[in-house]
Amino acid sequence: MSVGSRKRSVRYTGIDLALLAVTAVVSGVIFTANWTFYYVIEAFAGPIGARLLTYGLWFIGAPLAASLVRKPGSALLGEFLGALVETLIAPQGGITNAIYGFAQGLASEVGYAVFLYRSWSLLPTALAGFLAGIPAVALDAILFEVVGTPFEMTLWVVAAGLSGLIYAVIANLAVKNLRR
Amino acid sequence: MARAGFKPSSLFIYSLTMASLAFIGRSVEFLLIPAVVNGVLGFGLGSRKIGLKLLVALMIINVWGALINAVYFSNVGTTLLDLGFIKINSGVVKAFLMVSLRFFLVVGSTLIMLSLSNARDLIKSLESDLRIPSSVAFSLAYAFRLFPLMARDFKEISIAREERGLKTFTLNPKHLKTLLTPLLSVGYERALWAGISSEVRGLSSRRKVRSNRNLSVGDLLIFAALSAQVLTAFLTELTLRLF
Amino acid sequence: MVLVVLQANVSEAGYVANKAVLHNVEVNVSDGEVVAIAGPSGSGKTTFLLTALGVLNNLLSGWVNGRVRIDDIDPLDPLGFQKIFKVSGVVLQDPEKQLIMPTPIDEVMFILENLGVDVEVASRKSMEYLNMFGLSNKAYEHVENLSGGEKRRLSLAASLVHEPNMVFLDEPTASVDPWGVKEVKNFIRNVKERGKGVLIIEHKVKYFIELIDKLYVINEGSIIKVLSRDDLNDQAVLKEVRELGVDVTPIHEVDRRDVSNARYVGGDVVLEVDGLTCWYDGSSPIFKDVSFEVRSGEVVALVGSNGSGKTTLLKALSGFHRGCSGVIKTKDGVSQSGKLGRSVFYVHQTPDYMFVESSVEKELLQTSRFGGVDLNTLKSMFPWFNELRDLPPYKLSLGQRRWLSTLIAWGFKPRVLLLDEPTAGLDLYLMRQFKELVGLLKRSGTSFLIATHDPRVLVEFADRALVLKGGRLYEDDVFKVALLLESVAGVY
Repeated sequence: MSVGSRKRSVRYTGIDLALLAVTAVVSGVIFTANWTFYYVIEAFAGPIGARLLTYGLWFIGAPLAASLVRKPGSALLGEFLGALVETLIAPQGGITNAIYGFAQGLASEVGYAVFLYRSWSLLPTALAGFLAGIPAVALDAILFEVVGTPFEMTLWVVAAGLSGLIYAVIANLAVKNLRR
Repeated sequence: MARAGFKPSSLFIYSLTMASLAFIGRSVEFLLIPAVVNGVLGFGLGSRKIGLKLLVALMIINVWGALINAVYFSNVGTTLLDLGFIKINSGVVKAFLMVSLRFFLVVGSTLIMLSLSNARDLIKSLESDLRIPSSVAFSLAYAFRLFPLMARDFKEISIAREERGLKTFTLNPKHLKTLLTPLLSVGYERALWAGISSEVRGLSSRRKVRSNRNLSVGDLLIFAALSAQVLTAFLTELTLRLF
Repeated sequence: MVLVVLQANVSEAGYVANKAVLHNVEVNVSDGEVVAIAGPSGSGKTTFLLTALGVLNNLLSGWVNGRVRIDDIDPLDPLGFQKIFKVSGVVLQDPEKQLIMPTPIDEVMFILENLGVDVEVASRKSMEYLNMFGLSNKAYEHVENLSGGEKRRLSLAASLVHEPNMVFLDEPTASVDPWGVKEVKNFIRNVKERGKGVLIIEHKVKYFIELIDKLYVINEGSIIKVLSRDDLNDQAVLKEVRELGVDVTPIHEVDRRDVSNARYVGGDVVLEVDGLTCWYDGSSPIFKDVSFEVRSGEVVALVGSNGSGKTTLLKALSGFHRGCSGVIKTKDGVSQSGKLGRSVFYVHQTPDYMFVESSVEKELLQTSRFGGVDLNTLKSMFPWFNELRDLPPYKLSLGQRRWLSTLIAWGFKPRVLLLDEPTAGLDLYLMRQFKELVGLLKRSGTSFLIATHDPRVLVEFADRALVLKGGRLYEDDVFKVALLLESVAGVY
């Protein structure tokens, strides 16, 4: 009798869940530290500069988890669990983090979904990072009164998206060098 | 096991509702009372568990951020103050107040949750009382187990970097990558064995662990406080609009 | 009546298609029987364990041709795999990697919860097992507040709490000190007495030899020898097995003269420590008034149990432990418990911490640029350079990564290399490989201070032994210390 699994199953194994925990801790800590980076940089570089340099760090949970786990839903779970860890370790931003995390994770998930979950390489990862910029700017407007003209808001989305793209690529490259 | 007379998940619901209030609230009146209540309670309870210094630092960073944001994004309305290089308009004050109130509401309620519970009990309660998927609960529990280990990884990586004559950490993307890779490499191997360890101990057969505890007085108190604040918020806004 | 609890007949198995790692491996374990599988790293012994548990084909997308039964469950079948936790207990190599829950009580309860045991009952039973393993006072602490030995005990408790018929142990001694080895040994004796089957994967068979009923020697994926209890009492047979790379002989049977003649007497003093006392914040000292010196070209072993302060001492010497008093002197200057610049270099046992580049070649380039040793010299000292130059360092084998991280450290031209448990997880062959590297680097006059509880380091390549015990440091005969470590572990 020959037993072996040819195709990768979509079910999450204990290994996948443990990997999600690893990325959740890494991104949870990055998310927490990023608050300080963001406020400091915004004071010097303005809203666009700050979005470009720091926002992507808040989206990094999705590309990290998706590049490692490579299963449908991993981007959403990675970002969301990272945000939950952030909530549990530091009251900075409180439980709204989880709401941001869910929305950003969902947007990143779309990046992989449009490739029908066939590729987990640089291209979908970059897209996933970029897409997270949209809900981030939208939630900022609701919660932090960060509202501008449509033109300004578009610029912010692009800046946040580009930032997401850059850090998503870094996350993907960091995973590439692992032994597995 | 004797524990406090409420479920940590009730606190979670409380905190989540308060955060939703912050999202819904669009006026100072609406946010004022919940923000003051949660701010005072949360910072009071939190200072004992987390330390006053850290909380004050946190507050300063956020108030500073709110101010910067307000100046950048909401500098409209009548001019209140002319500093020469910049005019402060009424919109700044309103936006600053709104964001600060939200901060006290959200962070205060989260601090209440974190002070009256701990991560381990909270995760257990989310699984058994709120019935979140056991896979998500497992991930969170393992993340919490990993935390000190990964803090140690980070410390060791920093030592090695310093010995090799490199800066510990900057925002430079290349630095970020060279920090992430060893962290993930060690984490990956650990996760691999942890995953095997969980599967050979029946993770995939895990049923949701059902709690057989009923709501206690403590839980009811939490929900009463929650309802009272939601009602007050809406009533205050209504009253002020009518008169 | 004797029942067979594990019946495995694997004709072929592997991780990737068409590449078999195991060939015709047949292993049977009856209840009350302790069976060991021994072989060098890469021989397929861990792969066999993963195969027998159904992990290889169900979890790691590998493949298996053959038949396995644990009790009456077929772990190769996906549905059977989900049930094996009911009949088997598993202890993995590294307790730190095996433990998955934040607190000991959750760790032990995990399997009971999955079995659907009532919460109250599960909680009571878990406490009973924690108590049995001396951990009841730590039940609700974070697992990282436990010592290395306590973590090992916790992993043992968690594998037995549901009273399985079969217990698997994967190199249970690899990451514990001799005191921990003794506990593992007692555990195995206990499980055997309960009439359950035990399968141990281990290359240091000498630790368990009197408990073993049957020994399989595996090499290159095939069973090359099966030894019965009688064979294990036969010195001639054991000698044969030792030649196959399996560690079956206690140290006192190794020829002592071979060892003591090789001791090297160092040159000038390169490191002098005087009256060093270190502590953690606000607590009593970890060790007190420690004084010693290291001479050039010497290999000094720093021996002690887990938690005796070995790592703290190394960190203090390299300036990474705040909270010390005393004097540390090197040829390049005096330090009042501060940094010694590049005179010493600390290397952790996890080589991955050390890497900062994306390929082996770039690692050596960085080392050469920042450390000052000629790049070609470094290349020539990494035996696998030509085949591995473009590979990320993380993808190398454990032996190669240890070699690379030690070489990088040496490339910064320290007078003393401080190595923390450099032989952990290495089999006899890889340990000798590491010894070769130490010999190579020693020739340049570099000294070594090696924190270890591995008797093999003492016997095979340490020139001197310093023992850290009860907060005090003393020097002792290398061979004597090695014997002491083995007797603590219960090897006679």
